[in-house]
Order: sequence, then C-alpha cells, then structure tokens
Amino acid sequence: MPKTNKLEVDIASHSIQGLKDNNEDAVGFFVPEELPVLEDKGIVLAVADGVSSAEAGKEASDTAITRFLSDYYQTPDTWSVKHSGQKILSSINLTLFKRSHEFASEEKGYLTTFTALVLKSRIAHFFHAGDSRAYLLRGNEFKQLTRDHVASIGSGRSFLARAMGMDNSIQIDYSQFTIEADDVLLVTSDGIHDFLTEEKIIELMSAESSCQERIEALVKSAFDNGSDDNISGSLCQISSLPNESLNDYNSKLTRLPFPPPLDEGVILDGYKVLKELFASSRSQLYLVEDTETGEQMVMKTPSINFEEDTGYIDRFIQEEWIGKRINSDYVVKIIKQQRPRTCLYYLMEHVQGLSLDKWMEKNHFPKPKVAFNLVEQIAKGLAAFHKMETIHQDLKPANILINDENQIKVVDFGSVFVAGLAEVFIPLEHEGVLGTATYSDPKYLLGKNTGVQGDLYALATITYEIFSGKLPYGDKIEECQTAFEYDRLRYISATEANPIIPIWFDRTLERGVSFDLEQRYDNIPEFIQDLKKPNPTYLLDDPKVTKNKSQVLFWQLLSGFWILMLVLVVALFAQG
Amino acid sequence: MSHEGKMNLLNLADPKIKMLHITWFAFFLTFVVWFSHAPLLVFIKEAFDLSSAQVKALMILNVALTIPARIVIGILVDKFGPRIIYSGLLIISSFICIGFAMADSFEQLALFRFLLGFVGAGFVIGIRLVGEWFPAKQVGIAEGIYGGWGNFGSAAGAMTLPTIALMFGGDDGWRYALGLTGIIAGVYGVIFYFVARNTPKGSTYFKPKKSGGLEVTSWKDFYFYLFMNIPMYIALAVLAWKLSPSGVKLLTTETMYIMWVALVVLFFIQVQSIWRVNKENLTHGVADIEKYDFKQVAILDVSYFVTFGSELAVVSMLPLFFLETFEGLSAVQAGMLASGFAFMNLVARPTGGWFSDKFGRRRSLMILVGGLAIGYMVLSQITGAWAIPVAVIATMCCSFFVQAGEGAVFAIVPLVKRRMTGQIAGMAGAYGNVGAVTYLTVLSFVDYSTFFMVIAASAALIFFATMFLNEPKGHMAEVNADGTVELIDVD
Repeated sequence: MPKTNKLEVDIASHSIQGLKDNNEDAVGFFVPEELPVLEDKGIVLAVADGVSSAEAGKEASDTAITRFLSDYYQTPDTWSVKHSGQKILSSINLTLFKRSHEFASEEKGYLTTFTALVLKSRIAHFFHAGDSRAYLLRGNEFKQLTRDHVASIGSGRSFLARAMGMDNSIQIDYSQFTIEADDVLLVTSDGIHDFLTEEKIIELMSAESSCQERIEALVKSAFDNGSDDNISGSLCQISSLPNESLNDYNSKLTRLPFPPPLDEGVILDGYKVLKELFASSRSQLYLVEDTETGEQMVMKTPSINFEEDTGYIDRFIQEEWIGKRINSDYVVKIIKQQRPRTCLYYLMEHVQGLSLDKWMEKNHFPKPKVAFNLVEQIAKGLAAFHKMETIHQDLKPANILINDENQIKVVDFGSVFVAGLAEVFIPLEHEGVLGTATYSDPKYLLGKNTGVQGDLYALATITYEIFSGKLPYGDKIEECQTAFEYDRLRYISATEANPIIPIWFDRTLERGVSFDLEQRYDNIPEFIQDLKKPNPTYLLDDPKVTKNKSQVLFWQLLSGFWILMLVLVVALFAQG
Repeated sequence: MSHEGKMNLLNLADPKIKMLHITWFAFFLTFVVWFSHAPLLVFIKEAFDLSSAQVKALMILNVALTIPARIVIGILVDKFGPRIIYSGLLIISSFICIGFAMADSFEQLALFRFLLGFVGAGFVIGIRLVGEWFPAKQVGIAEGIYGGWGNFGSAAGAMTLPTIALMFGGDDGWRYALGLTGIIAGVYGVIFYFVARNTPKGSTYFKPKKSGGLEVTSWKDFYFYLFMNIPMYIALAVLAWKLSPSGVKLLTTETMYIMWVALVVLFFIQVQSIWRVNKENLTHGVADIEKYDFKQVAILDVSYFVTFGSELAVVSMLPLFFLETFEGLSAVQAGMLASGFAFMNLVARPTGGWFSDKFGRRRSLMILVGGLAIGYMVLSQITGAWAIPVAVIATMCCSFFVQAGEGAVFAIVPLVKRRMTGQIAGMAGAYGNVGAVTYLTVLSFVDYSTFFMVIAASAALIFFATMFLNEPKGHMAEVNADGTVELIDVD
C-alpha cells in the first residue's frame, strides 16, 4: 500500500434484515475529504441496533447514526473528541427520549444501542451504549473493546440494560487507545457477534480481501449460522497513519518568514504601519491601516529573537488559530485577511483603551459597583475561552483593556491550551513554562495542568488587585520557584488593604486564590456568585490567622531559652 | 540587516532604559574591580619587592579563573535569574577585593587575584538581563552599550586609582584605593538587588531547557567542537606550569601535576556532558532547518580570542609599560595615558556592531582584525624615543579596531543559530579569556615589544580565518521607494 502522510483507511459497512420483517439496525461511516477536517475530527464508523420490542426501533437507530455522523463534524475543532462525542450523544439521547414519551404505551419507544469508533490522528476513541460491540484485531491479538450492557435474569435470558432513548440522561462508555498501521477495527450488532465464534470472526476479519468483501462475508457467515436478528457491521483497516517527520512539520510551520522590525510609514502586504504600539523581547504590536479600505487594525508580529524556535512559532500560529474561533464581545477579534501573507503575523481589531494594570494605578479603590462589573466582564471573556474548551493560562491585567465606557476586552491568547489540539500528534515538545509568575496558578507553573481552575486563580488574583490594589500573597510571589517557596506564603486579607471589603467577600477571594485545588472554587460562576451574595458559611468569623504567627515566635523563644540554659550548664560544669 | 530603533538613553521613566543604566553600571564596577591592580602594579611591586616574573604572574592569574567561571555563572543565571546572581557576584567580589587590599605576602596577593578572576564572568549575567528587557529591534544596541560602557570600567580605574592612592598617601595608599573599589562594588551589589528586576512586570523568566553544552548538528561539527575546547585546558595547564617551581614557585611540582590531572579529568567530564547534550541529535539526525555550520562559531571564537583577549592582556600591562618605557612619568600619569586604550570602549564597541550591520558581517570583521594586526605592529615599535602623545594616539587607534572587532563579533553571534545564542556567546567569551591568558603568558617570557609582535602575528593568522566566514543567510527585508516592505530570499 502506498505510504502517505495522513490517516488512511479501507472502510466498508453492510447490513441486512436477515430473517426479520424489518431492518432495525443502522450502520454508517464517514471519511472526510478535506485534510483539515480529517485532521481535526477524524474518521467515524458506527452501528446502532434499534430495540425491536420498541415500536420505533428502526427510526431510533436511523436517527442515531445519521445525526451522529452529521453533528459530530459540526462540532468546533477546539473540542476534544471525547467532549464532542459525549455532547452529541447526550443530545441525540434526549431527542429519542422525548419522542418515546409521546407514546402512551411503554412498548413504543425510540430505543437503540449505539457503538461508534472515531479515529483521529493516531488515536481511536470509542463511544458505546448497549449490546452492540467494537473489536480490534492487531496481528494475532484480538480484543473486544466494549462491554455489553446487558443484565441477566436467569435461565439464559437477558435484557438490555442500557440504550439510547431509555432515560433523559445516558451514560456512554468511553475510552481511547493508540492505533497502529494494519489494525483492523470492527463494529457489529448482535446479529453478527451472537452467532459467530471468535475464531470465525478473526478468520474473516483477517482475510486478504477488501473491507467490503470481508464485512459482507461476516454478515453472510452469521446468517448461515442461523442468525435470526438483523445483521450489521462496519469494518475498517488502517492503511497508514499520519506521522509527520520533524522536517515536514517544521517546513509547514516555517513556510512564512518572520517580518523584519517595522518602521512607521512602511507598507507590508498592503498594511501601512502607523505606529508601534508595543514591543517586547517576544513580540511587537503595530497600529496599521489597510491601504485598500482605510480600516485601522493591530498587527502582531513575532520577535526575530525566536526566528528558529519551532516551539515559539508553533505557539504564535496557535494564537491566531484559536483567536479566530472565539467570538465574544469580551475578547478581541482576529481579523481574517483578504490578501495573501508574505510573512508571519496576524491582525486583530484595534481596541482603544487603557490596560487594566494602568487603570488600576489610576483608580485605587474603585467604586465596588464599577469594580464588580469589570470582574464580571472578565469572567464572561474567560467563559468564551472555556466554551471552546481552551484555557487561557496567561490572564493578567496587561492583557485586559478597558475603554472609556468601562467595557473590557481580553487582548491576548497567550498560552492557550486547547484540549482538541492536544490530541493531534505534534512531534515538538514545548519548552519552558508559559504564564506569568504573578497571576498564574502556582500549580500550573510547577507543571500541573489545572484547567479551568488555573484561569479562576488568575481571575481571583486580578479581582483582589482591583479591589485592594495589592496582590493576595504579597510581592514575594513573583520570586517563588519551588513548591517549598509557595508553601511559605500566607494569604493577606483584602480588608487590610481596603477596609471596606467585608469578610465574606474576602473569604471568597481567599478561596479563589487558594493553592489547594480542593479548596479553590472549581468553576467561575460559583466564584462570581459568592462575590455577589454573601455565602453564609463565610459569615462565621474565626480568627485563625494570628495564631499561626505567635506559635512560631513561641518556639523561637523557647529554643533560645534552651540554648541559653545549655550554655550555662556547660559553663558551670566545665568550671567544676 | 537590522533597523536600529531610536533609543532615548535619557528617558529614565522607561523601565527598560532604567534597567540598562543599572545593569551597565554593575558591569562597569566589575571591570573596575577586576583590573584595579593594573594601574597600581608599580606600588604593589615596590611594597612587596616583587620580581618582574611575579608581577606578570599576577596579571595572568587575574584572568585565569574567568574561563571556567563563565560556565558556572551561566548555569547559575539560568537557574536563579540574573538579578540575584549579579548582586551576589558584586558582593562576593567586594570581599575578595578587600582581601587583596589587606594581603601581606605574595602568596596572598596571588590567591586573591586568582579568585577575583570570577568577577570577570559578570558579562554573561547582564547580557541575559538586557535580552529579557529589550525588543529585537533595540537589543543589539542595548548590548553594545552594556558591553562598551562596562568595559570602560578598566579605563576609569586606570585614570582614577593612582590619584586616589596618592590621596590616601603613604606606602599603603594603594591598599585603601583598592579597598575603596571593593566597598563601592559591595554597596552597589545591595542596591542592585533592590532596584533591578529580572523581567518587565508581568513576564516570567524563561528557563532554557538544555544547558550544559552547545548543540551541534553533525558528526564533523561534534569533533570540531571537542577539538576547539582543548585550547582552554592547555591555557590553564600552562598557567599551572607557570606557577610551579619552574616559574614563580607558588605551587609545588606535585600540586602542578595534580592540577594537570584534574584538568584532564575535567576535560573528559566536559566531553561526556557534550555527548549527553548532543547524543539525540547526532544519532537521530537533525531537521534541515536546525542545521548550522560550527565553523562559524569557531571563527567567532578565534576572532574574540584576538580582540577581547588582547584587550584584557594589554589593559593589564599598559600602565606598567608606559612607566618602564618612558622617563619621568609618575604612576598617575602612566595610568592616565594607559587609560586611553580602554577609553575607546565607550564608542568603539557599539560602532563595531554598527559597522557589521551596515557593511556586511564578513567584510567588517576582516577589516577590523586586519586593522588591529597593523595596530599592534605599530605598538611593538614604541620606544622611549617616541613622543608620548604619538604613542598614546597609536594605542587609541589600535584599541579602536580591537574594541570595534569585539562589537562586530557579538553582532554576529545571534545570527549563527538563534536558539544557541547564549551558548555561542559563552564559548566566544571563554575564548576571549583564553586569549588573555595566552598573551599574558607570552609576556612572561618576552619583552614588551615582542609581546605586541606576537599579538600582531596571531591577528594576521586569524585574519585569514575570518575569510572563511559565511555571510549569515535568511530573508532580507528591503524597503522600496513607496514604502512597501519586500522580503527577499537570501540563500
């Protein structure tokens, strides 16, 4: 088989009604033609066995398969496979369930099993509910991937314990594993697997024919063995896996050269540089004007200091990619370019305003209503990231702009971690830690991915700073590098800096910036809620803080006393 | 081709300009302390009744420890950040300097001078710091200012220390002068700790992933790299020999042998460390885009050997040279005249970088190295019969080429392999110090005139080496008449 550099399979499906009156099975697969879709969403094969005692079994299974195949590919590419699959399936389940309850009689229901395999990059994911099955044949190893959801009621009889449409929520079995070239994957309804031995299945799966021929052989063999049910299945063999060599990946990334440092008045790709807004050792921002439309926007260019740093280039490209997909009033929009690019940069809308850190310098102790409104807006901006299953990971006041009407925009996509992207096999390792020491979750800086809680920490720290003008753990947090150093920090009550802050508000902040993930809020809405309304548990005042300090002092004094005594004893007895 | 951003050096409100001033001054002080002995050698010689050989040994000892110190400091900076390391360095060097000022035997003098070699590694700390604060457009100039104005510290010392010593008066005047420099350095170390920041507010200090050696991209380069490490060990081995009974008798023969063995062991440890860093690249191959020619690094190394190496050597001996060559000069005057050499640092080093940007890398380097070869040849002809002003002008002209050459080398360093800039800079710097040790060792065998000749001859050789430098490739940006920027592929 010819070796190319993308996921390639031979795939086929087949379904017959067998000895029954209707075919209540449904089976299907989809191989995207466009490479971006193939890489982001992958290949799907699925089987659904409509429950025959339910009247609408056929409609249920048809719905399940057609909807899964279409809706899955509509999910945002930043969603992970797991998230996409689960969301779609729970939606389909709800639809089926609602329809079932339109019927007065219990027997008429839209019930179906469902088993699907999604192949993306070098990983296979399966979603499963019911008694249909998925199998893997690798060389000589044969494995049933799924567990049958059946319950036995004695005397050899069993019934289906789980199915789509059964209840308003469904628990889907999910798992993933790495695939290798020449793997053969099979999904079957029980019409096949209840009537063939494992050896027979293995024999037919590993036959030297096309997948179409093999699946038809499987179906026929089951029929010949006396199968009295609908017989369906889908078979897939991996011909080649994507494995971009380092060279290929590099050349894809570095196709575009870095732009040189730009001066005022210079025109790049039809964009005229009006002035340099910001320059750091890592990137530059310029205010530019589109010479065709006159529109003003901001151009972000990478710093030539990183000209050969593939990790940096990777992140830079990722920023734009992610920015394009986030659509929120609270996040700066990426502008799609109409003209071809000759070098690496991207364009954003121009947001007029002051950065939050400068605003805070000018507005010490702002009115609570104003401050709270800002916090809520930032939270909404973060929600836009999280909805796309991306974590910002580098939220800080310098990344947030406020305009004259006190409206905020998050203007940076910095270190965004994308769950979907993390599943695509990227040969390069990212070096160093991204994120800013002052506002980043210490757990994250120490190497642990804390997800949404990480962004919550940043939000809580910023909230603290807006209200009190100081940092929750003092300035020393910037220097901390090890867990030990973080342990030595103590939370400083916000009321110390700004006396009007009530205890319950301070406690909310304290929990928000807690280093302990169990203590910290695990979702932003709850944090915001507690900022708005006093949480009754916080109204209990227990003065824990002072006790800590005096204990240390006590032991220090005691030790000093003991040393003194020791010296005295030694002195006395030495003389004697 | 780089665009030079306009930098307003007086704009102290700009935090990065403030940081630049704070940092170059720290480097300036390290150079004052490091070469504080040079203008005062005549007093020290008298006070301890030292032979000429012993004086020259002191000069060599001063620059010896810097070679390994650079590596150690580099690792520490990567781990702890520039701020605390620079403060620490200044404070520790202040103690060592005061120790030197209080020494009462040649052995003690030698010991403290040897330890002071550590302070010469301050350069790498500031480079890292400047790199974090300045955008690409300005970082070249910022580093040129940092290096040039810092190096000027040795000239400032040469100009003022003899006068200060005389002000304190008496036989021990020089001790107080030296001690004073130590105290100033220590105090500034504390100030630096409180005022400096590792990075602009809001960005984290990035720790590079692999530290421990340069990464090479082919087997040929690997062996070349190993080979290029040998001169450093040879220089230290010769120094050990110089200190043994065959030389100034500071070490016993046994100690010398022990040091030689230690150097061999260290060499093998370094080879192992280099292998460890490069194993994966060499066995699995490296992407085409990552490949670079080690030859470029080697040429930069030897260029820095002859430029910075000769500067350090000459700065060490020039005051004494003036005193011994010309009649009727006082120590103060000799110091003043000798300071002309390092004085040029203020403008020459940044200018060298500018030359390199404007006229092409290879051509500038060739011209500058060739220029300094001629310059040193002129210096070798100086005798007592010359008019002093002419001699001073000669040294200043020569020094211009020397220091501009240093600037040119460092302008090329980031262009060889961006990611390895720190490592390449480190190796070049180490070679600079090896040059200093080498030339000063030569001086311990010959007279001043031959000393200059040797430098000139080595420069001539290295001139031929620079002809092999490849002009760094990539994309060049051209700005057309109507303002549009076009990128041209230069390969």
